[in-house]
Amino acid sequence: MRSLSIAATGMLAQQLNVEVISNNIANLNTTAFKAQRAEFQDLLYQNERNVGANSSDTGTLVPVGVQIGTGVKAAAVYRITGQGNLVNTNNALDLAISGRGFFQVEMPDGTTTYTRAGSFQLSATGEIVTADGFVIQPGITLPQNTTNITVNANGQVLAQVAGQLNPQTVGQLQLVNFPNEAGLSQQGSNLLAETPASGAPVTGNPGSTAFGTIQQGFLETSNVNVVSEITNLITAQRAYEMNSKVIQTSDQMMSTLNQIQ
Amino acid sequence: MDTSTYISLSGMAARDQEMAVLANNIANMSSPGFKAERMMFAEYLANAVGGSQISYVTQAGNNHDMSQGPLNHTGNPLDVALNGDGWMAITTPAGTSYTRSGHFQLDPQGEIVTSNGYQLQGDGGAPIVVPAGAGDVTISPDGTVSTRQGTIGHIPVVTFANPQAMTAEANNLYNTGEAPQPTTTTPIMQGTVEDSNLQPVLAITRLMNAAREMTAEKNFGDAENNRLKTAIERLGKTV
Repeated sequence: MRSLSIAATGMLAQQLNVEVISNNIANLNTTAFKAQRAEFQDLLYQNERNVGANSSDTGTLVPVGVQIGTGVKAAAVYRITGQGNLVNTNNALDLAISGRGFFQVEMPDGTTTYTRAGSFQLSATGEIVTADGFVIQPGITLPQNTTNITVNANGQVLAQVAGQLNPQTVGQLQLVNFPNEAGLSQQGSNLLAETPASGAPVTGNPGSTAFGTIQQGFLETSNVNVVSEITNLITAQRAYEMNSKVIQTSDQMMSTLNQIQ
Repeated sequence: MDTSTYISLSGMAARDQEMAVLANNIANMSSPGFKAERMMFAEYLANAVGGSQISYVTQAGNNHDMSQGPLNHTGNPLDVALNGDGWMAITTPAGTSYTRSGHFQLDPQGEIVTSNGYQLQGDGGAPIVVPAGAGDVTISPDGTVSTRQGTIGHIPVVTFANPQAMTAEANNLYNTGEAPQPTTTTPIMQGTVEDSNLQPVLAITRLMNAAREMTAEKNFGDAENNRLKTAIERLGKTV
């Protein structure tokens, strides 16, 4: 019975669906987390009677064929790239991107990763780093005795040093964009990496064309919509049950066959 | 050998086929743009000894239920659904296929593609390219694709004289030998995907029916077997 294995692909698909949903809900409070969705596609079809084949010698055609599908597969788990809400934290080094763009993070192995989670800290040497201590590119070091940090909408970083009248410019934050943001691969710890599918990064200053602006003292929340996650969860659970019902029924039919005298 | 056993066998084989179609419908409950299928059976007449005709059951074809699936709002700018009759054309390595699954992405060149990387066809079959740094894409109900910098393309919607002649080709795509007819009466809804049009109630009732029909056919086969057995026993009894 093909129906058993077909229903099994359906159950596997719904299981993946629930896994993706549970990861979204688990990351409800993760800064700048982007919700994910699983997308499903049908598998190959077996043509048992071809549509358009001759059904007689006089040239009449078969109007509809017999095609038996073989189930479902997960085609993609894609990120929904919509903006999360901005929440005020009053922390000078919490930077949210309002609009498109990613901060560049230099990893300990020298590679560059990308993030929208702007909850930054200072290192022992005064450099702006992520919560894991990785340096933000281009590197910005604050002078000693800095009393106040200002980051304006265009990414300029100004430091007020004790004893000086005017704040001094200490650096310029830069953002990158990708032709296909959804093609970035997730690295965990709110970091994303470039892939052949994402295209090459395009660097620009915040506020320039196609780049978002920086909001100091704000963080971007996750863009997970709890209501839609819960409704998706219910749908997935019911779909899982229906597939298991198919397995039960197939089993029942096979048992009927086994009882033929 | 008596043919009645074979008749019940043809019935059981048909139920097995139908189960595969029902299982595929239910497995694809979450596939966007999926069209549920229904198996059609036909009577197959055969001449029996004695001039009478007996009828087996055989598969005649499966109908696509081409009704509209529910529209599900996702808010994703590259999700589009067709509200009404129509298809979008996709360039695949094997030629042009058609889909109602409007979940699209951008590839590294900025072209609008399906999850498999197949290009969505704009006017004249050319891909629609979103320039780098163009920002969000707006797709209007008439299929015009634009960004803040202006119009970048148009998604044509096509219909077919006989959608039943379309064959499912996996990856939510359909093929047909018919010529596409452009239509302008089917609006494209941005931020929405069309779910599978499978109706769970009908699916489960068909499923239960198939199981019961299988039991009925098996019981008929059993009864027939008993009848033969009794007949042989009685006739074979020496007086």
